[in-house]
Amino acid sequence: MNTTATAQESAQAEDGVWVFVFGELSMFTLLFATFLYYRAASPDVYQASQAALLHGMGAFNTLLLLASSYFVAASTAAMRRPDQSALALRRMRLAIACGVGFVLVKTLEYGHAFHAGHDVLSNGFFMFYFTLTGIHLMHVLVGLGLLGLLHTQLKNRHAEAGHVSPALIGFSTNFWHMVDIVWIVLFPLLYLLR
Amino acid sequence: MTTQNVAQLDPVSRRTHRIAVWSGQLFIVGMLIGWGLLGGFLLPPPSPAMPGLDVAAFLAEGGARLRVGLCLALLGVGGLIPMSAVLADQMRRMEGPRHIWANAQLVCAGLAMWLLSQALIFFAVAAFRPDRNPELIQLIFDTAWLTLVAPVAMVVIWQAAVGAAILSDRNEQTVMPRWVGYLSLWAALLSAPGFLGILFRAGPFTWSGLFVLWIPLGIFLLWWITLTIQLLKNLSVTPAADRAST
Repeated sequence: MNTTATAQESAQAEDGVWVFVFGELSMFTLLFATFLYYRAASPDVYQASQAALLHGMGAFNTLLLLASSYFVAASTAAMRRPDQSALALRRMRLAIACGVGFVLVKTLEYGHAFHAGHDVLSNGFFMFYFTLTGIHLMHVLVGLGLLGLLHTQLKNRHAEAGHVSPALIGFSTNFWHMVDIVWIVLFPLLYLLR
Repeated sequence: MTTQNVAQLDPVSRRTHRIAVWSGQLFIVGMLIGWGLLGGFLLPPPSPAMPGLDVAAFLAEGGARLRVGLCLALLGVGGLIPMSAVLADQMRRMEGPRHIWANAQLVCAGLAMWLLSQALIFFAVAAFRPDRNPELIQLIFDTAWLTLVAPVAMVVIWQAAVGAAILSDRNEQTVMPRWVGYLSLWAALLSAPGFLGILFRAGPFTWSGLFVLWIPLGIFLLWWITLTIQLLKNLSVTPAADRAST
């Protein structure tokens, strides 16, 4: 059989990424459903604990992730044009900076919660708050690692010392948008739900 | 030195590889039927909120059935090794001349067998004298469960290594489809929250809960069965078909 390797590879990479994204979104849906189930059993505790969160920081983090997702998409658009590789690189750096900002804000939020005497064992709400945001944060860190890898490849290509793997573009950008989508559901669930 | 294609294997080695892959299923059978069903550890899993006296009663009630179940599971974990050896063989073909992920995979499989045996032995020690002080029974029972669910690094690296090898495959005809690579990476992420079992005695993140026991267990089964099918499929490639693709 004589198939063109690149076309076949990118088509397969696309399929594979969706196995991953679908699986991850199912898992998060299950986590959210579990949260709602437990919340329904003692809404007062959850309501009272929710008031202790820093809503402003959560909202700011939402903006950071949205901006980051935008820069990733914009960088991908620039990647298609070989003459715009400097632009793609700059936008990728902005995306990574927003992601790192998210991690820093999250760390401050955790610090604030610990200082106020809340931790993962305090009650049901804080169990979910720390585990859900913690699992999400773990995904943010993995995503930042992937974007970092992509950034290195973009830099090499810009210096004409390498190429960018289409599979890595597909996986890392899809992964990053997924992390963003999950946060957009997670934020109102934990911070805003009445 | 180039790695041999499966198609270049003679029929005898091919049969050996197949037997090795099938022996990997003993692991699943041992854990599910031995530990889960006969041991009764999955029907339903005893909660960490259970008082020591109830744990003692659970173990006493299990009697010989429970201990024979643990024996089956202790034998079954051996199946991890031959199957991982075949997996490593196929991973080497994905990776080319350097075999980082194949080596990492083998180390993790070996450690998985050791740690699972350790956890099963702790269960066996708890069941060995169910009439002893319930507090002591609870101590060893906690040890058994946490040894089973909490050492997640080993399984995370294991699944991620397989995923990385599949996705780094540069052969024109990839050894395994790329979606299996993504499935492995997904499995690695789902297995990670297992350590949460250390934190809670109630809720969905306990050792008997959805996200620490059932999902990591379910995804491991899905991953293992998918790998089994892919390994066997590669072993049934006919030499003629392979020649055309290389």
